[in-house]
Amino acid sequence: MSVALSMKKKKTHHWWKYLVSVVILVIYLLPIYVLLNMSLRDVTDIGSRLYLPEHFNFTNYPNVLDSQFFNAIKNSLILMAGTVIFQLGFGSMAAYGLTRSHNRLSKKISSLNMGIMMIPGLALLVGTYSLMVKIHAVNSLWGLILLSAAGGIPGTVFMYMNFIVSIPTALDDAASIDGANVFRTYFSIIMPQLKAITITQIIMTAVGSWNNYLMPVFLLQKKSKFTIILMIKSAFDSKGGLGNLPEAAAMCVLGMLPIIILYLAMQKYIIEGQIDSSVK
Amino acid sequence: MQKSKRAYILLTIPAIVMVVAFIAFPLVNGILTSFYKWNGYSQTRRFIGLSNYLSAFQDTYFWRSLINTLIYGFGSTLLQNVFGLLIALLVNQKFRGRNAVRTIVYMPIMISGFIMGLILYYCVQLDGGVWNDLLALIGAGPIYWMKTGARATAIITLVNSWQYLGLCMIIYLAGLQNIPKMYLEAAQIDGVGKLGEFFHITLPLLMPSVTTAVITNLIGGFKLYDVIVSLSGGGPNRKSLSLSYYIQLLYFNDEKAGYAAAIGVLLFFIIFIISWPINQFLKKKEVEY
Amino acid sequence: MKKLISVVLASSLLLTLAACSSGSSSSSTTAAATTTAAGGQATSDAAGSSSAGTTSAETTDIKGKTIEVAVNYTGQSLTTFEEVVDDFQNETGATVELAAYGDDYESTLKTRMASNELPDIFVTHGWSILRYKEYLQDLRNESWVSTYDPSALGVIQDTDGSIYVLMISELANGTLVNLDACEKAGVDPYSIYDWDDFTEACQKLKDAGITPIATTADNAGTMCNYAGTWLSYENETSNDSAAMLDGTYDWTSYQDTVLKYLSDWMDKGFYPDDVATVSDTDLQERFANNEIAFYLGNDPSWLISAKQLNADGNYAFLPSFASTTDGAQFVGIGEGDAFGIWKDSKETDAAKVFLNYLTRTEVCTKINNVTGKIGAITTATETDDSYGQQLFATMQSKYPNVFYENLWDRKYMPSGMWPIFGNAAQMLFEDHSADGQTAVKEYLSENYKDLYEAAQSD
Repeated sequence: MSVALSMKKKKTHHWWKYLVSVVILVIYLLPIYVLLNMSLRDVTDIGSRLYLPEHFNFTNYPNVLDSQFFNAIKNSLILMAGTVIFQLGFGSMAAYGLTRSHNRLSKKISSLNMGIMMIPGLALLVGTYSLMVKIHAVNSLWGLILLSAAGGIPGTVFMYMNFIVSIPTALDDAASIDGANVFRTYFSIIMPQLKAITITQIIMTAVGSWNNYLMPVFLLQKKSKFTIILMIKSAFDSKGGLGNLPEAAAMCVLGMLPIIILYLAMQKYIIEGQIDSSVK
Repeated sequence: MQKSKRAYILLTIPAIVMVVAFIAFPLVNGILTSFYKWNGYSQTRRFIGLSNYLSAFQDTYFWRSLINTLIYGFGSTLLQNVFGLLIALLVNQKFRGRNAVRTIVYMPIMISGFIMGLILYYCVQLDGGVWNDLLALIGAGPIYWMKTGARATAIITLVNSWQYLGLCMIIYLAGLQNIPKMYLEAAQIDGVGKLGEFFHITLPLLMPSVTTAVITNLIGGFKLYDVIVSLSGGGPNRKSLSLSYYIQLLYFNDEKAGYAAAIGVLLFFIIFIISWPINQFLKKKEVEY
Repeated sequence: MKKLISVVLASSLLLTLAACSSGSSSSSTTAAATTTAAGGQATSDAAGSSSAGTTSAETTDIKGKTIEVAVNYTGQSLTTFEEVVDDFQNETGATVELAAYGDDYESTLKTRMASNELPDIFVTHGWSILRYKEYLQDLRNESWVSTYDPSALGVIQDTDGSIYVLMISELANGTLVNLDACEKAGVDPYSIYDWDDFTEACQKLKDAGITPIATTADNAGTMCNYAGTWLSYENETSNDSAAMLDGTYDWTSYQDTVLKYLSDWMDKGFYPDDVATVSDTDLQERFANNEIAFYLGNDPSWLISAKQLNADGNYAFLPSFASTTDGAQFVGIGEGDAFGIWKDSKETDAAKVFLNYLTRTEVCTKINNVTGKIGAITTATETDDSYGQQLFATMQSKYPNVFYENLWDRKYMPSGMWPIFGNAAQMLFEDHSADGQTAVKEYLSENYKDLYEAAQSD
């Protein structure tokens, strides 16, 4: 392991890097391949999922594109938008307030906040469920929006606080001399400084909401309120009726497609934002 | 000045109201329920004091799920960090196609854990599973991957690590790119081997990234739930459950809402205790800014 | 006494089937006649099930009303039920909000019971009496009650005569058989009488490379659907029915029979190698591939899925076997698709119209054909040629002396035992050593006592 050896490696055209890369890609793409493979089969084709289907059946895709599917997409979008607005709106505001008011209470709150971040939502399942039942929030998107936003607020506050501390207070002071109150300072001075992290947070919160399984599965019981994940889940359910695995797989592909497209298109923001927020 | 301080507090009120309503209140509600014997839906329930807590300590499934939760938390963290770092080191090299690797490795993070588990289920089956079909290609016999609880737990840990590895990779990649070139050049001049360079220069300079990655992974690992639901269903014999999943089964399947609430309270405090030193550390880190 | 009941039930089932073959017009007149006879108190909501004249009356009645209907259908069955709902909406102008919870049906209904806010109509999935009766309206005065198959009444009528649900199909519980797999191994399933014969047959199958018994590890049915053939019925190994019902059962006989046999089968490798985590979907594929021969304690409708995957497959439905040569082979009859009306429903009238709509011959036949369950409404069974119905009819002709009773756990176990049996099955599949068996017995015994007490105190 000398300099000479590593020089030599460069000359061998990095063959090992390509080998390792190919292995990694295979490991990562295999499940995607399996899913696509399953989605293109006849329902009677129960052969190995490693090899190509006996006969390519593309009708599974149009078959699942019914009104219920689009309704589920709509519900997922509503949930997504609502969660993003409440979680980031309230979260960033609170983060600003907590960072700027250096008193004992705010410090207590922020350390408590970090503890809450780690608690799994299911620890509170029984209490949460009874609450949602009591306030008639079962089967309602607004109930789920509030619950998801509340669950995400501690993490958001934590993330924003890390960014807000690095914004000089001189900016705030200048604004307050100009007669701006705290709210105006927050909206017109602070928020613009947080554009980068806000974009990342929007994307990550939105993706998290789209993929959310835990609370929707317990709270959204009516088919008309199903999110896309719940539609996929019910398509894979086999007890109590006839399943159609290829169609379920097709629905799974279609349900994930928006996220994958978003990811490939916004990759730069997502990955760089992730770097930014984790390095801070 | 004092006046604006109060205004700052005002800004936090909506968030605090939300957290109190949807986290603090359910916690109190859960604590109260944990003293009752209740099936979760009946209009009547019976006060039994601390019995639910006492039975938790004698419940092998509780201990098993607790251990699994720790395995999911610490095990995933270890795997993700080791392999995330290795892949970051690879992707940090200059070669064509490294962006493709980065993109693909990060992609599963975008996909719901529930769906990943669902797909992986069709890989680990004994009969007709893709992994065994692959083994058959090289002439190896089929393996019953999920045969024991320990194996199922290990596979779930692997799958979870695999899915969220990209996060570690990205964190370390950023860390690596922040290491000034001159350190590495100096090391080369000193004639330190590649390994020496890694352990004496790269790794120490990566330490801030390590802590970030560890904390993020721990949070994710302790909360693990949806992958297990679709990959193993908690089986065999409920031996691959996380505490989260056990609570859900007790509540909705076994009709033991009071007991589920008690285990929820225990989980709450267990995680709080584990996260306490981590929080202290984070606070210190904050001071540095 | 039990023998007598069984004879009555059996003959009534046969009568039903006999009625099936007779002309449709004659039997629908009979039904109409009984409707008017029973319907002295019948009002507008008791409109006849197939007369067009009363249909228009229904239309004006409930136009603009909205009812919520919760069902546990999935896949093809759900699609069919949605069509039924659409037709109903078009015909009556009422709106039906369909809630389909799939595999989570049971848990979601529990949460709705907790909030005391149930759907106007919901499927009771086998529990109309034990679990749901305090939430349901007594429907005994509805016109369609008179069209019930008597075997159905035995399952859903409470001790005080109350009937809480419209049951369009029954669930028959026995042994599912893959005839092709048996033939390959030279096993004649019809020659099996008791569990020892069954064990022998399994060994033959095993030697021929076929997995004898299908089940998922968490299937509660493994522990209770055919347990009665050892424990509760006349001339079987033991008869502990009385103790089970008064809360004093000590589970020793359960350990000595049910657990002993199950463990023996596990020792001999009769279950799939991956039984601990296998899913129903996998089992259906293997059944279709003739890799598995039997599924104990299950409903013929399960075979529909195998039939869908392999249209050429030959399957049969048999009773659960006896534990002694004097014992009777047993078929459990349970609630199939049963719909109840929430007692606090604000749309009781509309809900009743909907139930009436479901009793129409073409409607319930359509549903039963796709679910594969056995019709429970006599006016409809005649046109019902569902696969499940066919399998059931074949079984009846081959086993004239079979003994019918309500599902064992519904009759002898307190409410809440079903999931406990599921957990116990998982425990046993993981460890069926002597210690493991004792642990399972103790687990069952403890929970049985707890649940029995809870049921008494309510």
